[in-house]
Amino acid sequence: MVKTLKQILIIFILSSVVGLIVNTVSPKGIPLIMDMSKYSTEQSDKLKEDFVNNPYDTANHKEPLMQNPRYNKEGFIEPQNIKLDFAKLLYDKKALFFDARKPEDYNAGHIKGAINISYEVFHKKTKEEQTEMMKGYNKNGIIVCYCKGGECEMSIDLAYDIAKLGFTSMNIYLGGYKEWEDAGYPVDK
Amino acid sequence: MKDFLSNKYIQIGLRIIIGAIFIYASVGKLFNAEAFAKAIKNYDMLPFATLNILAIILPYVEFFTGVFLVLGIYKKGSSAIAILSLVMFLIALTSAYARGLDINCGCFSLETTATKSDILTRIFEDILMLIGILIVYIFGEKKKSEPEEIKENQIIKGEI
Repeated sequence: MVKTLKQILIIFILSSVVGLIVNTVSPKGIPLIMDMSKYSTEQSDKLKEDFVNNPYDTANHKEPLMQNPRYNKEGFIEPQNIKLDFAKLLYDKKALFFDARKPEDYNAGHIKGAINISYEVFHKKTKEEQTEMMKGYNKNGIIVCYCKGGECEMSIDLAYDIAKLGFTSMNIYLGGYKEWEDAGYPVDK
Repeated sequence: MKDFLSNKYIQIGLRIIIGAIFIYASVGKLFNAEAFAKAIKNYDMLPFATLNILAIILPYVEFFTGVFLVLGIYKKGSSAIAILSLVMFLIALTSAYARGLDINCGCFSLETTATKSDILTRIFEDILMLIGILIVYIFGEKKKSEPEEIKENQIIKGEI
């Protein structure tokens, strides 16, 4: 038994050392603690306040949604996470909603008026093909991406992919279709 | 039955098959910690603070366990880790299935195309591997039991 435990310990130490070394030297290395800002909806209330104080044409406005947009290292404006109340406000102001789920999920029910841009399909396309797909949409228009909600991340990934094409007001509604439907807001089935 | 399960060739065969599966499963994750962290996060079972560190280390645990199983080094330790890992995967997969999570299991590839039926297949595979590795762990190092030793001694002494 002691022998087994000793062996287990050796394998764990070996794996930890090699794993940490590879993670440090690899260009694809990640921080030891996950960056949770990606899932934070903290700024949603502030964004909503700004939006209410400075109402503008949701579909045609010329400036990014945020006063001081978060340009990240890669040079695009980071999408913002928004909560249900702000998502509904943008919806009422006729913002564009993108459903990032698979077509079959979209067909089973989606936010009324949302356009299906399946992340799985979109992500596999080349940048040129993605640009072509997004050709008809205003780069400064407010766009809200959503998926199922909860553990679903396709909305985040899709919003980032589109933001990388130069779209300035990408928003992620993390509550997703489930929260929206539960709230009794408009859906299409 | 015991003799059959502790047969040298059965043992080597099981170790190589399960070890190879472990290596194969780990390869895609060794240099892709970010995607693997996301796959673990989707299970919604662990605190956020642990996700990245697990995503960095677990693939290497899986890899070295596989290598040691195939080479027959640290047989007890590597098969014990394999048992623990498979039990862990089984709990995670079953709970994800029961909660109806529509997630990629993150078992072999980190592509986002897996469906719920894939999870069921993985659960089935997991159980098969668990049985295999338990055989390696329990019957791997056959020790002569006492009565057998006594019997042998008696034979040597010509008592039987």
